[in-house]
Amino acid sequence: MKIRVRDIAKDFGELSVLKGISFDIPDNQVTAILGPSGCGKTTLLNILSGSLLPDTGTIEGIADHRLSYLFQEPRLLPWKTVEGNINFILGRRFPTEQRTDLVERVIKLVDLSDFRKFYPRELSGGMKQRVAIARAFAFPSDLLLMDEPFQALDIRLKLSLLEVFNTVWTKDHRTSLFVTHDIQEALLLGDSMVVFSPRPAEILGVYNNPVPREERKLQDSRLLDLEGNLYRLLTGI
Amino acid sequence: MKSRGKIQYLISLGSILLFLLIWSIAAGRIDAPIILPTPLEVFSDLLRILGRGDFWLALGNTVVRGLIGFALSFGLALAAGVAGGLSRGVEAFLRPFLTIIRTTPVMSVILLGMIWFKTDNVPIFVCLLTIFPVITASVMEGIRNVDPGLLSMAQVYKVPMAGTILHVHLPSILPYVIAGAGASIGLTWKVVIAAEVLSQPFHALGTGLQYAQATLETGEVFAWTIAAVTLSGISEFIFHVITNRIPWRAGSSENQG
Repeated sequence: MKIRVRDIAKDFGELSVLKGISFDIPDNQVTAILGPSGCGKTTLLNILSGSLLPDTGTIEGIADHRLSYLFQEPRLLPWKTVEGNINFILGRRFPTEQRTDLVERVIKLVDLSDFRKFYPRELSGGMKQRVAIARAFAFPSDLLLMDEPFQALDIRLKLSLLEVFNTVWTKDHRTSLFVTHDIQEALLLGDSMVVFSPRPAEILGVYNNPVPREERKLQDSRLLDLEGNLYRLLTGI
Repeated sequence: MKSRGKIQYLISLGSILLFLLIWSIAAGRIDAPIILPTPLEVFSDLLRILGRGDFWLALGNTVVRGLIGFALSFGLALAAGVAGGLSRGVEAFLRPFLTIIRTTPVMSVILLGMIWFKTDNVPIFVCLLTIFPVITASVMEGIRNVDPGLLSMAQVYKVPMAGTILHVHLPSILPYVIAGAGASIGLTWKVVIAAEVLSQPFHALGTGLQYAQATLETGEVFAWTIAAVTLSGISEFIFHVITNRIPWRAGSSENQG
């Protein structure tokens, strides 16, 4: 059952941040929210994660959902190894043996098997974010929320991380909501794109990705066309 | 950098030599070992008491008292500090006690301890009370400074409260705990020995010190003092060796990129 976001509005005092936001998050798809910086994307994530209440509107189909979260920073415990960080959020949810297998599997998926005993300070920024991806997929969540997790990285690292994400996602079609201001990120990751206006955010349009995930390349003419449309929509030119 | 460290080392060495020289000259001028013995006289007194079995018994008992007092205080302070750091209410409750304990003269604590406890236990009590506010304050500050990003991460992933305290709060406060404990080590020996001087347990560094003073063996007073200073120095050294072995802190540079 898909998640339906209906007529969500949120003000902070005088400041209107979200205005009548309605869209769907289909199951087993990545929905990208594309919008300019400061348009209220993080506010929407906070409402979805339950840490903030909307002024009006409803979200259907999210009650009792377990969430995974990819933050802008990796947010790893510095005193735990790669394995330890993933074990930490799994807790006693699984029998030990099953948990060990799961941790090993997700670490392998993000290509960090040789580093599983390393501490975060021994890893590069990109590797740390890969641990965060492994952690998000290890957790038995119903919805993965992503708050611009690739922003702090340079372009090459970003593309390689997007590839890592797509590899993992191909093995585990986790329902995901991906918030970004980067058109190319949205095109590579999103199965559909919900475009937000500047604050107060309204929805300017919803686009489906014409290219299947495994074929998505930035040079693809279909993606280039869509990129042009999104660019015009976001810049108003 | 290396030669600079070496120069500083030499300067420190020079300052010790200068100090010994001034001491020797002063002792020579005064010419009364009962007031100020020469460094050599003190050294021979030190060798003499080191050869006595009751010195090592006294040292051992003092060390045990210090360790018990420190461990008890550390445990209580950790619990109080975590509770006070997590809850403003608990902090407000603890604050008057901490202020009173911190500002009460050590001598009052010792004298009251002598009324309430066996002589052997007075130094433990005094140590416990003296360092409790120091470590509690460090722990509280540490808890307040736990990275909120890590806490919200733990919350999103539904990590239970106990797990969060054990795996997020406690490791986070480690630098603060180390600072507080480090500051308390020197204090521990100071107050334990002070309490021993007054309460006079049968085997104790402080008792030896007091006895030397009462019998006007000034050289021995110095010798016992050197033993106390060495004890303090060794325990601080051991503390640093232990705290430098924490795996995730080894090496200081943060790897970025």
